[in-house]
This record gives sequence, structure tokens and C-alpha cells, in this order.
Amino acid sequence: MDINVVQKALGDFTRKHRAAFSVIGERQSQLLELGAIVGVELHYRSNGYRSTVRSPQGAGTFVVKTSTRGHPSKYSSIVFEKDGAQIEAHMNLLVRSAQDDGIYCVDVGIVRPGVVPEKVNRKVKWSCIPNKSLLSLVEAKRLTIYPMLLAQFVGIVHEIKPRFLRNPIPKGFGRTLQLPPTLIALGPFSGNSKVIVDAYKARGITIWIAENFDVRLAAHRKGTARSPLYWDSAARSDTPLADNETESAFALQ
Amino acid sequence: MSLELVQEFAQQLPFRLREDVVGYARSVQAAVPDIFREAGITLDQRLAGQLVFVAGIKKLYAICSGTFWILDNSLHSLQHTQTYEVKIGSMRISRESREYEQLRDLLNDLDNTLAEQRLGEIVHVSSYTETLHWLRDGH
Repeated sequence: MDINVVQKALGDFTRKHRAAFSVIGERQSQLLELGAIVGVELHYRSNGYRSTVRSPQGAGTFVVKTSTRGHPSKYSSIVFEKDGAQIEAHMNLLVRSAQDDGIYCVDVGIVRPGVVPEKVNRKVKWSCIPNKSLLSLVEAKRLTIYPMLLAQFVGIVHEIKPRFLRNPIPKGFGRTLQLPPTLIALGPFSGNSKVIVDAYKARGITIWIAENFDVRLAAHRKGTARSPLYWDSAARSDTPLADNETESAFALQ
Repeated sequence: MSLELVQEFAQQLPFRLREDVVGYARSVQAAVPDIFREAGITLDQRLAGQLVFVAGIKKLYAICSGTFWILDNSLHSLQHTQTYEVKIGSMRISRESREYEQLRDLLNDLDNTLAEQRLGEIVHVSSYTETLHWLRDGH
């Protein structure tokens, strides 16, 4: 490899595609959050739920909620239905703490039906959903999975849905059921993070870690994974579409 | 030396992406002794420089590939709900939009550039010890 030749070729490449890199720079995190709610939709659909996108701008356009600001009725959400029961998924949803009066914003909130208003009520300021209405949550990070990220996520679950951190294990959550609190990351497990995750079950911790999410989404699309949030054994060895380094603790950010 | 070359090709990137690429290459540079030890190869500065340079390329590829495929897979998956476009802030992205084409062309062009430099294979190699062996074997 002639490093100088390669360096020049890549310099030309980055110069030529400045506009595309600008799009990535501006929207990468938001696209990952979009990928997260799509991952949730695919998970529920793979488990027999029927899904419908509810969109303020009518059918055809999914309006992404990109921050804590804005009334939720102005953004798209997904309604799931199975055997007459409904649940909903909302992006950047504000939810009351399980511990105090604090309010948190989760990247994707999976909630009971009807708790998120579908219209703005000018007489009543909407602030958040009650904690009991939140069934589960998803957080998305464009990072490798490292021990302190896991500790941070466990802390989030402790403040918002602590019943997932102790026995008895909440019923109805898992690979073929509803989604437990899930951390989605673009990167792989690094350092000793897999050891920590492997011990969760014995500790009565029911949270799910979906590393290499872009690879999972691609495996699902190829038909080698039932849900993009859970590996099927055949999908694990699939060709990665992005860096899936596993042996050293290299942060992706 | 090779970290400087990574900084040079990353110079045109927006600040945050530049920091991602250079920071990643720097973290690999810090792990070079461990990677050589794991690979059972005696530390060699020329090879170490190439490894750091390739780390920068791998991160650049991960950014381009990850972003495009998340978007493409999301658009594909939403189709069954008759959703063909996503609106993110003021930006509307569909398979026919300029932004989608830009991201697709970016990834295609990067694939071609790396193939011309005979580096197309290395961005998919999943471990740095394997990458090091690949570099040592004269690729």
C-alpha cells in the first residue's frame, strides 16, 4: 500500500463529496433515532403485530421528532395491534420519572394506547406521559458498547422503569414478546462489556443490548434475522456493513 | 506520521465527523502495542503507521456505510406502511431525493476508490490483528 497515493485519493474523495458529508454531519444522530423506531416496528411486526404509521402530514410521510421540543401530535408515531390490544411507539417522548417528579426524554417510548395526545389542547399544556403509561423504552447511541455506557443505560432504566432491574422478571417481554428496555448502538461490544451484559440475566436485570445495529438491520433485510433487535444464530456471521471490531476497546466516537 | 495523513484526508469533513475519524485513528494508535502483541508480531513503526492509517479509513467507511444503510433500510421497512418519505426538520428524504442520491453515490464512490487502491477488502476485516497480518503480508 502506498500511503501517500491512498491519502491523496481519499482527500479528493472527501473534497468531491462535501455536500453528502454535510448531510451526514447534520443528520447522523437523527437518522439513527429513525433507525431505532424502525427497528422497534420490525421487532413487533416479526412478533405478529400489525403496525400503522400515524402521521400529522397524512399517509406517505414519516415526520421524525428530532428533539425534546415540540408537541408529540405534530410528529409521526406507530400504532401496533395484536389480538385486539394496542400499543404505540413515539420518538423523543417525555416521560415522568419513576422515582420523583423529574421528566426524562427517551429516544423511543413504547406506551399504552391513547396516553399521548393526538391534538394540541391550547387550554392544557402537555408536559409528559405518566410513568405507568410507559411500557418500555429504547435509547440509541452512535457508539461502541463500553462498560460506562452500560452503567449509564442501567441508570436510565433505574430512574424510569426500575422494575426491569430486579426479580421477578416482568412478564411478556423478550425475543418473541414485547421489547424490554433496549440500548441500540452502532458499535460492537468492547473491552469487558460483553461480560457485564452476560451477567444481567443472573442478576434479574431484564434489559436488552443491540450492538452493531446497522449490521442487524441489514441482516433483517436480507431475511437472516427475524427481528433486527435480536440476533438469529445464522445472522451473527453475516458480512458486516460497518466496522464490527470486537477485540479492543475502540470508541467509535 | 500516519495520524497526520488521516488528519489530512479528513480535513474536508465537517468538524464532528473529522473528530470521529481522527479520534478513532488515535484510539487505535494508543492500542498499537496490544494489537501487535495479540497478533504475535514484533512492533514495527512502518506497519504501525499503516495500521493507524487503515483505522482512519475503516472509520470513514463505517460512517458512510452505516448512515446510508440505516436510511435505506428504514425507507425500505416503512414501505409496507405506505410510507415513502421521511421528514427530518426541514429535510425530506425519499429514494428519489437529492440527499438519498448523494449518500448512495458517496458510498458507491468510496467503494470504488478503495477498490482501486486494493483496500476494498480491508474495511470488512473484523479484527485489527487480522488487519495487521493482512498489512504485513504486503497488501
